[in-house]
Amino acid sequence: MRSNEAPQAMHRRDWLHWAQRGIGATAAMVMLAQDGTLRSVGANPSGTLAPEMAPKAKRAIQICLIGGLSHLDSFDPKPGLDALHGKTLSTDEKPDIFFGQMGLLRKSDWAFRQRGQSGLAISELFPQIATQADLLTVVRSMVTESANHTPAQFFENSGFELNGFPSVGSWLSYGLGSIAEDLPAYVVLPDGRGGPMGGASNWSNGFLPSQHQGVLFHSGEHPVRDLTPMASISGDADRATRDMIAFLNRKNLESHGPEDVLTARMQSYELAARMQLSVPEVTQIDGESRETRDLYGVDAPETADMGRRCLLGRRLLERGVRFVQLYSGGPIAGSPRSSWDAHENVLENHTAESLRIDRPVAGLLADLKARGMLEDTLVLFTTEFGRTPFAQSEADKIGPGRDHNRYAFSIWMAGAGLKPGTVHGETDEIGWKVASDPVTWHDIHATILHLFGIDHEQLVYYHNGIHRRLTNVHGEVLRGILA
Amino acid sequence: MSALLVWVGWAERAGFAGEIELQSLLAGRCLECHSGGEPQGGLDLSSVSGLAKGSDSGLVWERGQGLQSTLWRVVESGEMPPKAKLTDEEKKVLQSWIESDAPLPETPIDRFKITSAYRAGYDWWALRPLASARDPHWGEDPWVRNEIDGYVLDGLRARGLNPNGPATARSLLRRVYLDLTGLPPSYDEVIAFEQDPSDAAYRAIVERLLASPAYGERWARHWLDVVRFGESDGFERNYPRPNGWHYRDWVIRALNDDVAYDDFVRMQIAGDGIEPNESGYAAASFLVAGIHNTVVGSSDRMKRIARQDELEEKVGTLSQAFLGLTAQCARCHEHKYDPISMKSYYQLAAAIQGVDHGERESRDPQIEQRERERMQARQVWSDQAMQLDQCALQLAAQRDAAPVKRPIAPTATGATPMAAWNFELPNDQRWTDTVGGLRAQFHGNQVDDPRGLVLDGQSYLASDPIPIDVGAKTLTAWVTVDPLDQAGGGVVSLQTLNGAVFDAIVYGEREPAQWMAGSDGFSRTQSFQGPAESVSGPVHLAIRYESDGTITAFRNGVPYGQSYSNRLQKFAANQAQWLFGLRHGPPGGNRFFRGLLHRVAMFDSALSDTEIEQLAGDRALHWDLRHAWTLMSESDRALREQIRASLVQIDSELAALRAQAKKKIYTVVSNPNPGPTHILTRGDVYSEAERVRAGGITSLDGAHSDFGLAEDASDVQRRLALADWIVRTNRSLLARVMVNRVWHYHFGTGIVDTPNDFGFNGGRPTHPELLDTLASQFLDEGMRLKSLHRWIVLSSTYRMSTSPTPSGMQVDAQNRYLWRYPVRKLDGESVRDSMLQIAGVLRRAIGGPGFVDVDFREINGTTYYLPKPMESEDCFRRTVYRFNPRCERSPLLDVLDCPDPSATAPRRANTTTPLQALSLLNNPFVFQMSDALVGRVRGDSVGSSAEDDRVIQQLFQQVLLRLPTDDEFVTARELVRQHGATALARALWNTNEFLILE
Repeated sequence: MRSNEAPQAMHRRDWLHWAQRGIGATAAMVMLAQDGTLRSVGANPSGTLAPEMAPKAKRAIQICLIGGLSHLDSFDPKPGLDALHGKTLSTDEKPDIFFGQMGLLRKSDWAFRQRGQSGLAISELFPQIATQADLLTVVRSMVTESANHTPAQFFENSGFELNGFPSVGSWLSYGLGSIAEDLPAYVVLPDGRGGPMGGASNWSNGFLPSQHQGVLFHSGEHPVRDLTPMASISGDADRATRDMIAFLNRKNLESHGPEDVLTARMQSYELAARMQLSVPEVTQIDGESRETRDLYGVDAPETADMGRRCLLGRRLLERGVRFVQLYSGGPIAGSPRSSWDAHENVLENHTAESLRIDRPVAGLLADLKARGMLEDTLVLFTTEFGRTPFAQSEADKIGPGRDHNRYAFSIWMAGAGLKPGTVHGETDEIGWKVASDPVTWHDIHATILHLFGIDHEQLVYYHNGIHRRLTNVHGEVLRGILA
Repeated sequence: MSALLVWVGWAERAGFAGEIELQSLLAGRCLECHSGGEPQGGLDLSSVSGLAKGSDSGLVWERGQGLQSTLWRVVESGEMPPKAKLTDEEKKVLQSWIESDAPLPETPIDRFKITSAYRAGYDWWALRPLASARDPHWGEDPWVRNEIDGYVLDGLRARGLNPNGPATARSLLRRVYLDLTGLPPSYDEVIAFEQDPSDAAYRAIVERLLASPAYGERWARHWLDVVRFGESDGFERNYPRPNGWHYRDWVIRALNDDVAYDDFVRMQIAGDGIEPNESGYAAASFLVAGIHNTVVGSSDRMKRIARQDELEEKVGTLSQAFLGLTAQCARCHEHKYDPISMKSYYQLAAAIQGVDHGERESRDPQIEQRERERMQARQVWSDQAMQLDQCALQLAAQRDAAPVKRPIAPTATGATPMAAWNFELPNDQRWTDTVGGLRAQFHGNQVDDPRGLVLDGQSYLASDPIPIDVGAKTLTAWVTVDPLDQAGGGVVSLQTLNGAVFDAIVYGEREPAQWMAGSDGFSRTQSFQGPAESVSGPVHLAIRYESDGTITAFRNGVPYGQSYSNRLQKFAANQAQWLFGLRHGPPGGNRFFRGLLHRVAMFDSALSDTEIEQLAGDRALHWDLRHAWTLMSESDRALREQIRASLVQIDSELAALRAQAKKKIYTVVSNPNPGPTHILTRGDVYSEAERVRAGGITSLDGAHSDFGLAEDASDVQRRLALADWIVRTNRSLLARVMVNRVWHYHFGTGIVDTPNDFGFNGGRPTHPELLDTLASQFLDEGMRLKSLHRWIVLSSTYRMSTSPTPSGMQVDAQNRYLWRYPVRKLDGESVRDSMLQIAGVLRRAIGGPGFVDVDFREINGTTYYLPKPMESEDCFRRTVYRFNPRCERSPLLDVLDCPDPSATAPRRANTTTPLQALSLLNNPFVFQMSDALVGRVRGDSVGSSAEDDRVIQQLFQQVLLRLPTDDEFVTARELVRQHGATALARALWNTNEFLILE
C-alpha cells in the first residue's frame, strides 16, 4: 500500500519515499549507512516497495490526441451511420455538445477494413497504425463528463475536471518512482506547435510533492531548463564551483552532526551532475540507425516532429523513465487548427493531423515489439472525447465538421498485460452513445495502475481532509481486456 | 438527548447493555448506506420502524428470530458491509445485540452525535470548548520562560528527553529575522547581537522586526498560500487578473496593522458590505482569489456543474481556512468522517450563492467632482462646435448638390474613422472603404437598392485584412432591422480571419430584439439590459470598447442599457477583418443579419459620449465635416480649431481623471438575485431536493445554524451573516485553527500537523493543552497575531539549538515533541529575497501592481505564460509582489516548492531533488545575483591578491554571516584566483549553510 496515511509522518515519509524509490536512491543508501535513525521511521521500507500484485507493466508511454479524435472516422466502424447518412437524428433530448448545432447525420469520410489476424476494424485514416492492429486493444465505449476541452483533458489526465489534481504520470512517479536515478520519472514531450490548453496543469503534480510533476523536455539545445548554466562558464570553473560547494557542505555537516536534510541536499548535487550527462545522451538521437529513423519518419517533414518525439520516448523508456507523455495537438483554436478539433471539416483536419502521427506511432509500436519492450511497456493512445455522428451545421444540412461527443469515443492501449487484437465495449448503431460496457477514465486509470501492480484503492495521498486517489471514489479494473 | 434516553429505555427493558457501542458501530459502519431518504436496498437501520419494515426483498429481523434473522446472516457471512469487512470484535457487538432481542430506538440514530472509532461526532475534540488551563506542574525550572516552555518540557520529560541548549547568537538572529520578516540580518547586526546577546537585546530586536513592514510581507505570503491567491483564472483561458493585487496588499496592510483576527476574517467574507470602499472590496477578493472557469460551454448541464464546482471550491476554502473543517466533502453525501451534513454544506453554499467573479471600481469623490467640472466645460465647448458645424454643413449642402463621397464626418474632436463604408452610394462605389480604401467582397444575393446594403439572411460583406493593430475601438452603424423578430445576426463584426475571435454588434441573439456586444463563446458578452428594438427604420448603433475593458453601447446617440466591465480583446495587424451582416465566420446558422445597412464607421479609439452623440445626429448631414470646415469664415475656422484643440485637451484630462477615480479591483460581484438553493441529491445538479436558506454548520451551534434570513436575502446580507456566524459561533475552533497555523510557520509543523483539517482525518494535537492555552491567550488578547508571535519567539523552546542529540534522534527523530528547534530549509521566497538583499539590489517598493517575470500572450482566447529567460531590474522586488499566474510559473520558485495557487496550500511540500540543485546552480537569476554581489563588495577596487582576500572575507560575511575559517580561506582563494569571485558567490548561494535555517 502506498500512502502517506499517518499525517504526522508526512514530511519524513515523503522524503523517504523520494529517497528510496525515486532518483534519490543513492542518497538514501548513503544516508542509511551514516544514520541509523532512518530505519526507525519508515517501518519496513522494502515492504512498502512490494507491489500489491505482480506487475505486468514497468513503464508506459501515452500519446494524447488533443481536440477530440473522431471515433466514427478511425476505430469505431458504423455501417448503420452510412445507411442513415443525410437523415435527421430524431431525439427529444438537448444534447450536451459544445456549439449546440445539430446538423444531419454524416457518414465517415474513410473506409473501414478488417486488419491483420485479429480482423480488428480500423479506417483508412490510420493506414500505418492499422498494420499493427494485432497489437492493439481498442476500447470503443469510452464516456466522459465534459464536452469542453480543458476540463475533459484534465479529467483524462487526473480523474478530475478541475486544476490542481495530480496526473496519472505523477501518481505513478509517487507510487513507483523512476527506474533510473539520473532521469526524471515522468517526462512530457509537447507538440512542436505548442503546448495544450491548460499548459502545465495537464502534467501537474497537484498536491503531490513537486518532484512528481511531469518534466518538460524541449527540443533543441536545452532540453531541460536550468540543466546547464546559460552564462558562459567553463567546464573547469563549473567543476571547481561544485567542489567548493561540496567542501563547504562537508564542513558544515561535520560541525552540525549527522542530519538527513543536509546529506540529502549534498547527494542531490551529485545526482544533478549525473543528470547533466544522461539528459544530453538520451536526447541525442543522431546515433540511431537509418532504418530506425525511417521507421519513425524522423526525416520526413510532415512526420519529423512526432517521429523525433516517439523515438525520444522510446529512448527515455529504455533508460528507465517510468512514464512518457506525448501530445498530438497544441492550442485548440486557430486556423488551420493545430489539433484534432474538427469543427469545420473532419476530412481536412483529420487527414492533416493523421499524416503527422500515423507513421511515428506505428513505428513506435513496431520498434517496441522488435526490441521485446512491448512485453512490459504499456502504450496508450487517448483523446479527451469523440465527435458527433451528426454534422455541426444547420439542422437541414450535412456540414463537413463534427462537434464534441462526450457520450462515446474510442481509445486504444497496447502492450504489457493486455489482450491484443481485441475490442472492448460498443456504441449504438450510429456511434452517438455507448450501447454496452461504458468505460470511464476512472476505469482506465484503475486498469493502468493494476497493470503496474498497484491497487487503485490503495494508492492514496492525504490532502486537506481527504485521502485522495487517482480514481476519486470510482474506478473498476477492466478485467475483460487483461491477458 | 431524548432519543438516547428513549433508546436506553428500550435497551434496558430488553436487557441489552451495549447500546453506546452499538450506536457508534451502526453509525460508523452501516448507516452511511442504510439511513436517510433513499436507503440502500430500502433498508433503514437508524430506527426501530426501519428495522421492522425490512428491506426491498423482505423482512430482515423479527422479534425472537435472534441469530436466525437475515440481518445476522448477511453480517456473519461477511456479505455486509460489502467493502471494508467487520472485525470479529465488531461482529460480537452486533451479535450480542441481536441475541438480546432488543430493538432499535424510535427516533432515528443521529450518526453525528458521538465520536467513535469510525468518525467524529459533535463531541469531537476540536469542536469542544477550550480546556481551562490546569495548574502548571512542571515546577520551577529556569528553562521555562512561559507556558509554552512548560508544556513542551512536560512533553519531553514524559518521554525521557531534555530540551537542547540555546542556539548561538548568530543562528538565533538569522532564525528570527528570516522567520518574522523573510529577510536575513546583516553581518553588522550579527556582530552587534553576538556582543550583546542579552534577553533585553533580543526582545528589542523582536519588537523592531514585528514593527517592520517586512513582517507583513512575510506573513501575508503564508496567508496567500492558504487562500490559494492567484492572479489568473486557471482553466482553459487562464486570463490574467491585472487588478487582483489589491487583495495581496490588503493582507499585508492588515497584518502590519495587527488587525484583530476576527475582523480580518469578517472583512474577507463580507468586506464589501462592511466597508464599501477600496479596502472592503480588496478584502472580499478572498472569495474569488481561486480558479474560475470562464468557458462553460453552451449546455445547461455544463453550466450547472461549473457553478456547483465553483461553490464547492469557495465553501471548501472558507471552511478550511477559518474553521479547519472540510465542509466541501458533504456536497454529494453526508461527510464520511466529520459531523457535517449535506444540509450544512448547502446552507453554506446558499450563504455565498450570490458571489460572482468580476471587477469593481472604488471611486474617489474629490476626483469625481473634478471630473464633473471638466465634463461641464466640455459641454460648453461642444455645443459651440455643434453650432458652427451645423452652419458649415448647411453651407456645404447648398454648395454641393450631391453629397461628397466621404460621408462620415470626423467628430467634433477631429477623430476620424479608421474605416467607413457608405452603402447609400451607387453599387460601383459602395464596396470600398471611404477612408482608407480597404476593399470588401460581397457574398450572396446582390440587390441594387439606393437605401443601402440589402441583407437577406444569406448575404454578407467581408473586408480584406485590416493593416493595423486594433485595440480600443468604437463600432458604429446606421441600420434598419427587418424583421424585428430575427435572432443572432451580426451588423458589424471585427473578427480574426478564421472567425475564432470576434467583437460584433449583434441583434437579438440571447434576448429577443436586444442589442448586444457579441463575442466568441460570449467571453466578452454580458447583457446591456437595454430595451427591445421597436423601430424598423434606420437607427444608429454604436458599441465602444475601452482599453480598460469597459464595453458600452449607444442607440441613437444615448447610452443603451448598462455598460459593463470585461476585457479588451486586441486584434493584430493583418490578422483580422470587417464583416457586415454576419456575426462571425464561417457563414451559417443564425449568424446572418436581415435588413438594411446604410452606413458604417469604425474608429480605432474609444470615442467620447459626445462624439457618439454627434455621430448619431442627422445622418444626411454627415458629409465630410473637414470639407465643410474649409467653407467657414477664417475667424470661425480659427475658433473651430481652438475648440477642437480644447476638446482634445479636456478629453485627455478626463481620461486621466477617470483612470484615477476608478480603481478597478478584482473582487466579488454580487448577483442581485442569488435565487434559491436546493440540496442536490448525490451532488447531481438535476436532483434538487429540500430547499435550504443561508446558514452554517449545524454541529457547531446545534439547531441555530440557520441565519434567520429570508430566502430572497441579498448577497451582502447573506455574507454579513456568514461572517458573523464564523467569528462568533465557535471561537474556540476559530482560535485553535489560527494559533496552530502560526505555530506551523514558526516551527515547520503545527501542533496539529494538518492545519486545514481539524477533523477525524486530520492530525491530533501533540500538545493539546498547549494548543488550548495558546488559543485562550490569543482570544484574551483580542486575537492580535503580533502578541502571539511575541509569545512564541520569546520562549526558550523557540531559542533552542538545532543540534542533533543521540537520545533525541532515537526517541523522537521527527522532533514532534520539540527537543530541538527543527532544521528547516528556506522557502523559495526567502531564498530569492535573501539573495536580492545580500546582493544589494532589492527594491523595497511596498505594494501596487506586481512585477511580471513572465511573458504572456493570448492565442485565440487562451493565455499562455512563459517565464522570461532573465529577470529585469524592475523584478528585483520581494517575491510576494510577483504577479502570480496559474499553470506556467517560475522555474526557480517551482522547484523550490512554492505552490501553484490552484488549490489551498496549508503546508508546502518539502522536497530535495536534483532539479533543485540544477536550478540553484544554473538559473540565470543566480548568476545575476552573483555578479551583483561581487560588484557590491568589490566596489571600484582593482584586482590584487590582498584585494581578493578582502572580497573573499566580504562574501562569506554577506552570505553566511561569518568569516571564513582558515582552510575555507585557502580553498576559496584558489577558486577566486582561477575563476573569479563570482564563482565563489555562486558556490556560497548553493551551500547548506545559506539555504538551511539552523
